[in-house]
Amino acid sequence: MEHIQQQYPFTAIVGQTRMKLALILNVINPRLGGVLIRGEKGTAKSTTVRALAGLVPNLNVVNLPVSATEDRVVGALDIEHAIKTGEKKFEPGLLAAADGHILYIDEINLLDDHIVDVLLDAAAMGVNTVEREGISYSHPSRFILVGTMNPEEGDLRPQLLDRFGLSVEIGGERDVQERAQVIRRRMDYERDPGAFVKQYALEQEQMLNQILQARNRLDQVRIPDDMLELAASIGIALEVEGHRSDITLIKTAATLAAWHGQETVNPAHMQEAAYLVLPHRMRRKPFEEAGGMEQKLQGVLNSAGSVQAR
Amino acid sequence: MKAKELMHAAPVYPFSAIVGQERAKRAILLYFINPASGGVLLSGSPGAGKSLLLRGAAALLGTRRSISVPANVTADRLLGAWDAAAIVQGRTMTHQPGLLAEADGQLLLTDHLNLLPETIIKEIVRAFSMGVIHLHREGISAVRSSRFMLLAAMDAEEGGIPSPILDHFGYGIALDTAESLTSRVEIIRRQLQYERDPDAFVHRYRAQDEALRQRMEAAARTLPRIKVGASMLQLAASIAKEAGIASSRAELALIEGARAAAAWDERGEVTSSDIREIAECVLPHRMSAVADESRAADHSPAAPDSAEQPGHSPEDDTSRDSRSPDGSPDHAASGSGRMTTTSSPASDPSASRDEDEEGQRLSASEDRIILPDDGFRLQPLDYNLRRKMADGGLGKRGRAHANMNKGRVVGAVTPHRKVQADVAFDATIRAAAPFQTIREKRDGLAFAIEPGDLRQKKKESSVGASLLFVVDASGSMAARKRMAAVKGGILSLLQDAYVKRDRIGMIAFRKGEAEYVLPITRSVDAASKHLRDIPTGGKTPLTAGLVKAYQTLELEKRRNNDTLPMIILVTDGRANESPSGLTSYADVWKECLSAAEPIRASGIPCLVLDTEQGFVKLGRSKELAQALGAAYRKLENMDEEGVATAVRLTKR
Repeated sequence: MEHIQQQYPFTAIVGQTRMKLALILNVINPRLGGVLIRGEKGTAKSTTVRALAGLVPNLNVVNLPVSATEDRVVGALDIEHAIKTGEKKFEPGLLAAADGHILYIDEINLLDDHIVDVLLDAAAMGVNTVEREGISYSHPSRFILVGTMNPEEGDLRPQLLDRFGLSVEIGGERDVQERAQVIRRRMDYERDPGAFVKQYALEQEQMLNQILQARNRLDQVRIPDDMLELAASIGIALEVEGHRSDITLIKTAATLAAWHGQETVNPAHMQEAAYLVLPHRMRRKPFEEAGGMEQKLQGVLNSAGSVQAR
Repeated sequence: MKAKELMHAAPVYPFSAIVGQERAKRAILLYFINPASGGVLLSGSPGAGKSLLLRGAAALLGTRRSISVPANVTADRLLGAWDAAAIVQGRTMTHQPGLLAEADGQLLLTDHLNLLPETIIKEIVRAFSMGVIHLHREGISAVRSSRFMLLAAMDAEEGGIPSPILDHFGYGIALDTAESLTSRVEIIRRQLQYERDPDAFVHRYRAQDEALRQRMEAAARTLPRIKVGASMLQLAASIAKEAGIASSRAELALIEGARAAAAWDERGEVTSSDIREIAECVLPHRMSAVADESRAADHSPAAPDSAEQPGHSPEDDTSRDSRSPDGSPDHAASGSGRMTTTSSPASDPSASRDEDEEGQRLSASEDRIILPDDGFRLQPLDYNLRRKMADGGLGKRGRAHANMNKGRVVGAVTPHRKVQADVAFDATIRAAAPFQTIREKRDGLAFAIEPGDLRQKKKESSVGASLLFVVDASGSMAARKRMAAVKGGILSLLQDAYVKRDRIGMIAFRKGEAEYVLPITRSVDAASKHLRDIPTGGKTPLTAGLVKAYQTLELEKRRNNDTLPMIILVTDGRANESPSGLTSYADVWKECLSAAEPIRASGIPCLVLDTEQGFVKLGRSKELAQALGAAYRKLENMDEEGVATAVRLTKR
C-alpha cells in the first residue's frame, strides 16, 4: 500500500493529453484494445502508465521486458515444486499476471518474433492456452495492452499493430513554460513524495470518480444508426482492412461520450475517436508525406460530416 | 474494481450471425457434412473474421469437442510424452497423450497456422492426412490412430505455408475483404449487440444455428446415397488437370465436396455445377503450389554452371544497351523455359474452356504469386564471380545454423556436450524416471536426477538470410525499369524463400530521403502489396540509403539474432544529393564512401548491382563496392531474372 501512496500522481503529469486520454478510455472500457504509444525516449511514457495504475485501485501494471523468454510469458512447469513434492504445478507466466490488468511492453517493436506470435495468439481469444513442456493448462488472459515504441527503431508487424485499439504519437513538450513545469513538479516530488502525493489527493479522487461515472454510463450511451454508417464509410474511404477498426472506432466514440458525460454518440466523438483509432491502421504509401494521412482523415470526416448534416 | 469484472468469459459468437463470408461458411458446412473432402484453411487479413468463423463453426458442430493448438505448443504436448508429474509422484511410467491423440474423433482448431513452427505444422498435417500419429521419441516407438477434423486459419501476410502442406487441406478459402457499406454497418451493429449482451445475442440466433445444424445432419445422413456419374468424375479430373495440379487430393476433394453440396441441396446426384462451385474452393490454394513446382523444376536444370544464355524478354528487345555477349545458344534455354510456363495455367487463362470466368479467377489469384513475366529463365553465370563467392567474402552464411540458443522452443534433445543453459526440465524428469526405484534420493527431494538425465531445450528459429535491397529510385533514365526489375526479382526470390526461409526487405532512396518501403518479410503477399507503387524521380541520396540500410539491419540483428543479413545495393553509383547538405559532387561521393565504412566494419555481406548505362561510365559503383567490401556485379540485363539470379548466385 505504501508504495502506491508514493506513486507519482497521474493528475500531476504535465501535458501529454492525448496519451492520458487514450489510457483513461481504456480503463473506462477495457475492451477497446489497449494503446500503442509512439514517440521518443524521455517523454514520460512509463511514468504515465504507472501513474494510471496508481490512480485506479486494483489495477496493476505487468511489465513484459523485451528480453522475456517464452516460458516466462506463457507460463511453465514449476520444476522446484515438482522435484520437492512430486506434484505437478503450473507456474503462471506474465499473461496470467496481466489478466484484468495492464500488460506493458516497452519498446514493443524490439520484441522477438516468437514472443509476438504467442502474444498474438493469446490476445486473439482472451485466453492463454498452454500446451508445452509437459503442461496443459488454460486460463483467462484479458489484458489492456500498452506498448511503446520509437518509430525510428523499426515498425511493428501489421498483425500486432492491428491488435492495438488506439495509438498516440507523442513528442517532447515544446512549450518552455510547460517544460519548466515538468521539471518543477518532478523536483518537488523527489524532495518529498509523501507531501507531493497528498497535494494531488483531491484531484486524483475527482478523476477516479469521473472514470467510475463514465464506466457506469458507458452501457447507457446510445449509438445512433447514422454513426454506425459513418464508422463504416470512414473505414471504406480510408481503405482500412478488416472490421476491427470500424468496431473500435464506434466503441471509442461511445467511451468518449461517456467520458464527456454525454448520452449519445455524435460526429464530434467520432472525429476525436478517429484520431486515436485510425492513424496506425492506415497503410502509408512509400514516400508519402506524413501529414498527408492527417489531411486525408480530415477530408473524409468533413465530407462524411456534411453528409450527416443533410 | 478490477478491469476483469467487465471482461467475463462470453459464449461463442454464433455461426449464423456472421455477416458475409459466404464461401468460407459454405466450405465449412460442406466439410462438416463430408469430412472425406479434407480440412478447411481460411486465409485473410487481420480482423477479417477468421477466429469468429473458426469458433462459430466449432460451436455449430456441437457433437465434437474442439481442441485448440496454441502458438506456444511444443512437440511433447502435440505428440504425447511420458507424464513427468505422474512419474515423480507415483513412480509409474504413465504416458500422457498429446493434443493430436486427444483430438481423435474430435475437431482440431489452429487459429494461426503460420505462427506455428514448421516442424509442428508438419506433424499436424501428417497426422491429419494419414489418420495416425507416429511416435518415436523418448524411448517410445508407437503408432496410434487418431482421426480428427481440422479447421485452420492464417494470415497470408505473416508468411506463406509451403505448398506440400497446403495440399493437405481440402478447402482453401481466401476471406473477402471488400464488403459493401451495408454489410460493414451490419457487422458493427451485431458486434456491439453481442458485446453488450452476449447471452441474449446468442439466444437470438439459436434457432438459425439449430436449423443449419439439422440441415447439415440430414445432408450427412443422405451422403452415402449421393451418386457421382462417370462423366462427373471425368469433369473433375479434367478440371484438376487443366489447372495443372498433379496431386490427386485435388480431385478427391472436388468429388467429395461436390457430393456434400448435392446432399445439402437434397439432390441425389452430383451435377457439373456442383463440381464447378467446389473447384473454386479446392483448387486455388493448390495452384500456387503449381507455380512453386514449375519454378523449382525450372530452377534445377539451370543450376549447374553452364554457358546458357537467357532468352530476350520483350523489355530486353527495346533496351539498346542489353549487350548479350553471345546470342546463339540462346534458343535451347528459352525454349525449355517457355515449355514450363505454357503448361502453367497463369500463362493461358483460356485453357479452362469449361468456364471462362472460373479460369479468369484462378489465373487472377495466381497472378499475385507467379512472376509478372512468367519466364523462369536464368541469367548467364559469371563463373569467376561465383567462384569468388564460394571462396570467401560471403562465406559467413550458414554459420547461424548451429545456433540453438535462440528462437521458439519446440521440444527437447539429448545434449551433445555439457548442458549450460536451457535445461528442459520436463524432458529431464522423463529421462530420469525409469531409474527412480534404484536411485538414492537426496534429503527432502522426491526425485533423483543425475547428470546423464539432463535434456536441453530444442529451439527453432527462422534461420535464413535477411536480404535487404537498397534501391536507387531517383529520376535517372532507367529508374522505372530498374524498379520493375527489382520488384520482380524480389517476388521471384520470395518464391525460393518458401523453401529456404529467407526473408526480404527493401529500402528505396530518392529525393532527399531513404525509406524502408518493404519491411523484411517472408510473404509474397506482403511484398506484392507493399511494392505495388513506389514512386521514382528526384535526385540520388545514395548516402541516405546506405545509412538507412545499416540502421535497419542493426535493428534486425537485435530483434532476430539468428538472421544472416545481406545488403543488395542496386544503383548506378551516381550520388548527387547529401543528407547533410553537401553540394559538390566530390564531397557527396566522399560522404557516401564514409557511410559505407560502418557496413564494412560490421561484416554485413553486400552485393552491388551496377546499373550504370551509357557511353561515359564513371565506375562509381565498383568503387563503392570496394568500400563496402562487397561483391560487385554488373547488371547487364535489367530485368527481374537478372536481379534474382545475381542474388541467388551470390548467396550460394
